[in-house]
Amino acid sequence: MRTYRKEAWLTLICFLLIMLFGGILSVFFVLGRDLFFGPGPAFAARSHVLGFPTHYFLLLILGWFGVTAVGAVYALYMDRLEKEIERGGTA
Amino acid sequence: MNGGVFGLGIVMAVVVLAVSVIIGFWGRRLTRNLADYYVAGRSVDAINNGLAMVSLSLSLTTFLGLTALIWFGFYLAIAIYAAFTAAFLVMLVLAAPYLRRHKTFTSMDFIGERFYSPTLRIIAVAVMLVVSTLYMVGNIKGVGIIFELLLGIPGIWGVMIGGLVVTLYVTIGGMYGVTYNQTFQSIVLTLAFIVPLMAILRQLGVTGWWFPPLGYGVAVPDMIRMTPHFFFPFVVHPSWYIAVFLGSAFGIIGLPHFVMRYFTVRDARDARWSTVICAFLVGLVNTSAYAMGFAGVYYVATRGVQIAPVDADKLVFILTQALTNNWMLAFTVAGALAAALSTVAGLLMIMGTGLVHDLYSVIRPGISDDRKLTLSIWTMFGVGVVSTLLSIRPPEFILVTIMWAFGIAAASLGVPIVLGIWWKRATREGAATAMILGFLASFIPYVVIEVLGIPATAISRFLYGPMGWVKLMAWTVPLCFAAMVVVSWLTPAPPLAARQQVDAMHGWPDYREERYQGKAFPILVVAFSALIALSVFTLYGVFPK
Repeated sequence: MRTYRKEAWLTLICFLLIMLFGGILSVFFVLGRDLFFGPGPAFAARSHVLGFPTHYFLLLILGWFGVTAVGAVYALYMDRLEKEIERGGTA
Repeated sequence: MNGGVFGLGIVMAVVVLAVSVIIGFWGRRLTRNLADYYVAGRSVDAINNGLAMVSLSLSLTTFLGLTALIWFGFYLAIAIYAAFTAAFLVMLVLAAPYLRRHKTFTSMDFIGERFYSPTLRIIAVAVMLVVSTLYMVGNIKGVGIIFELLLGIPGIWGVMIGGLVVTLYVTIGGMYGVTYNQTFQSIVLTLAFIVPLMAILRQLGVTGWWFPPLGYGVAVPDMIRMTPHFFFPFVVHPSWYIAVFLGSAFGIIGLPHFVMRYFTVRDARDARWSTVICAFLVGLVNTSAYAMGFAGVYYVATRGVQIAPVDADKLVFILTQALTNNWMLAFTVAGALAAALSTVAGLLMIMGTGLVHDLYSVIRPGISDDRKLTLSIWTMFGVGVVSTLLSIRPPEFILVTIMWAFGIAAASLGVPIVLGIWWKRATREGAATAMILGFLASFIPYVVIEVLGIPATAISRFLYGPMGWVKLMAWTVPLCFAAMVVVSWLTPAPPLAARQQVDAMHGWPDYREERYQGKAFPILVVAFSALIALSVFTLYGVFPK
């Protein structure tokens, strides 16, 4: 794959992951309310991780560790890709 | 705190203020030329810049605004801050390293150069002044609240003292003083938030108190029993979450005081890693702030204590005083003060630099660097004094004002910056359309809703619900993206020099026409924008109003 396409794809994939982890996740909770939680207000007591309702735990973890991990992987890969770009890459 | 003088708190506040001024003087010794004053000689390493960004980001809203928002908004407040943490990573992948390679001093400078237009640079300065002022007044007001708590006197004295101290050290130390102050302040504020929080959670009987971000799960069943809607994500339309993400992600790119930090680092690699460091630490403090908000609601529910809505901004201090000792309270005061000073300093820096470097220099080209440096110093002093005076009558809840600043910056500056980096075909006319449209579409609703006090539903019935106006960002940001793409297509291609900047920003040693010119990208942007904007009008079958 051409270097500049690699850069574009890496950026697009990381952006979509960050968008999912950092906010759009809650859209799925709202849209899939009955699917994920079942009817009724007692949903929060049904599924837990470390004592938290699962959806809340996911927001905490993905909104912090999740996005940071995506950023770290991006930075590592870009450190390598940058050398390729600075050498002129492949177009 | 109870109306009397809190001596220990005053000592801690004086220490923070004194250290800030000393660092400001030290920064002065390192400053030899204009690049030193504006961007610390582009010599800041990733760790220092990451820490400086932490304190710049974690303004007083972390201590005052966020817990109040959790108090009223529960899950929604947490979703807002998760999006804010993620926004740094969006800045990392879409803007940070590329802006660093551009070798300009400010976002406005970047817009002027990339879109070959001094007029756009001036418009960008005007937008910057509006968003920075909105951001700043809330923070200086917070300093007033802190002093009010300490001395039991009207916060106006706190506003004056805090405002003048920060003006002093920014004016003296320039970007070196601001950077090293922010590094110091980020350490203080992080510890001053988390250590007292541990003590609070321990007092509330939470066994996981030693790790606040994830340690309060044991108290969740009680919370669900007493306040079942605390964990409800369902009280808003799904597009609300999309709007929050767009506002945060493109707002952070559009807010020039955040972007300015990237012009200070050594290279693109430092720009990347400083963002990763920043996101990790901001996430740590934000997830701790959720725990603080949880503790506040839990404390009131379990102990039967009443806290008036107007005191919601002071929740951190109320909890610390009620459940810990005076040392902890004094430490919290120091942290809050550090948080406020660091953010105000960053804002003063960009406002002063913008006025001289991006406005005066365009109106009076040929001005010498020495003259510019002298003017910058006096301008920053003037901006500091004016902002302090403006903060005497600030808005009621500080975080809401800052959210508006994000929204306005996202549409009017964030969009042209991102397309300017990633799309060679982006033209001056397209950028002008996005900037003017974005500003008007965001600022007019701000005036209508916040200044005139007219309900958001009067603008559109779709803006209903808690913080319903936030959904505006799901229109304004996509609208600006689509408008900029369409207008750019309809207008003559940018000159070669502007197109070359795009390859250079991405690090290419040579220029090739075919890079960053594909048709797929603009089509994807317009299609994606249309989908997002339409989401506000749809899904009511799935999610009844």
